[in-house]
Amino acid sequence: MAVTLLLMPTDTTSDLSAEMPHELELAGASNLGLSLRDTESISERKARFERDALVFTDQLYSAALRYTKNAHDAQDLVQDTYAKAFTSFHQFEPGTNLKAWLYRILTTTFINTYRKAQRQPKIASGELEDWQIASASSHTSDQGKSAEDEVLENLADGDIKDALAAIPEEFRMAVYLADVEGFSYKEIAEIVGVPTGTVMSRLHRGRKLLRESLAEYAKNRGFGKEAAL
Amino acid sequence: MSCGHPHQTPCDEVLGALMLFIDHEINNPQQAQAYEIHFQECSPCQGTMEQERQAIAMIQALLGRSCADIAPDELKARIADQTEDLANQMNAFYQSQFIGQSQVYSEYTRTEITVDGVTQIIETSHEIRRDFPLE
Repeated sequence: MAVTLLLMPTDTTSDLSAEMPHELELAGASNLGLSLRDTESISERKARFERDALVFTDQLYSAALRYTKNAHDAQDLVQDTYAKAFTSFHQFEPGTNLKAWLYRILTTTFINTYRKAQRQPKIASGELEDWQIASASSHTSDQGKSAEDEVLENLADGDIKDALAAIPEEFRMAVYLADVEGFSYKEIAEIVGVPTGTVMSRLHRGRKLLRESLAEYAKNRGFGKEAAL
Repeated sequence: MSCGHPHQTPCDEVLGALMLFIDHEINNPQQAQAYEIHFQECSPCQGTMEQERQAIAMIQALLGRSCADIAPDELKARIADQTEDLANQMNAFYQSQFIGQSQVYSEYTRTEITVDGVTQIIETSHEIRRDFPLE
């Protein structure tokens, strides 16, 4: 006796399936981040956001402080950034660079909102010329480890922050993103919304300005050569 | 600009790309290697590069230690509340799309049993109805 048992749970059809809210584009929903193409529920998205995105709060706050130069605006900027990030989190492609994506929102929000409010003048042209002049450099006669480096190491954190705050915004951003966050030129270009050549020139100029400013602080604090004499 | 010795890659070209070299931003591996070779051959360029590298490393170290602020707990709480709030708004929005509507699912199963060449087919179906009442 041969028994063949074929159990076939066939087509489950439905007018509106249980997963339906996540499979439809709802009219007018895009403003709320409700473009529900994926199969992720909102509570799942929230859990993923809390797990993956909120870990950058301290870093974003630190960057926001450098951008806005005051704690109140920095807090608002970070909060706004996370509101925008959550409502467009469905657009973020998992597996790509979440940190850079958040920095891009932070930076764009700052440029569009807070900078206007602070009425900071945008830095004028001339950046490229500076870079071109600087690149036509030559061997420096000064060899060996710079005594200046040892002097700068003695600077207090507050002085370093002040020196950074004093350099113009475009340069400050480039230096911060490259030298604190370790972003590549290409990533910075995407975060700030400028060509990589511009990033390069801003970074070059920014580092130079910062170094000069730090040396000035060191001198005023009595760490310089003049004070030692 | 030259150190007086002939090199395959001229000194001024290498010196013009110092920052890119130090930042690992020279995307062409052959070019990066040509610069490496130049530094091995040309000690003045090597010295300039090392000095520049130290200067950049110093800035990175100073900024790294001084710019590590911690976000206030109050801010973290505000962000948590905001996320909760937005999630609730999103849920409320999509649920509002179905208020007063019903969803109906139909489920079928088909069972085929063959005993000694005789096939028997059992089919079942049932409906599930889900209502979204007006609040």
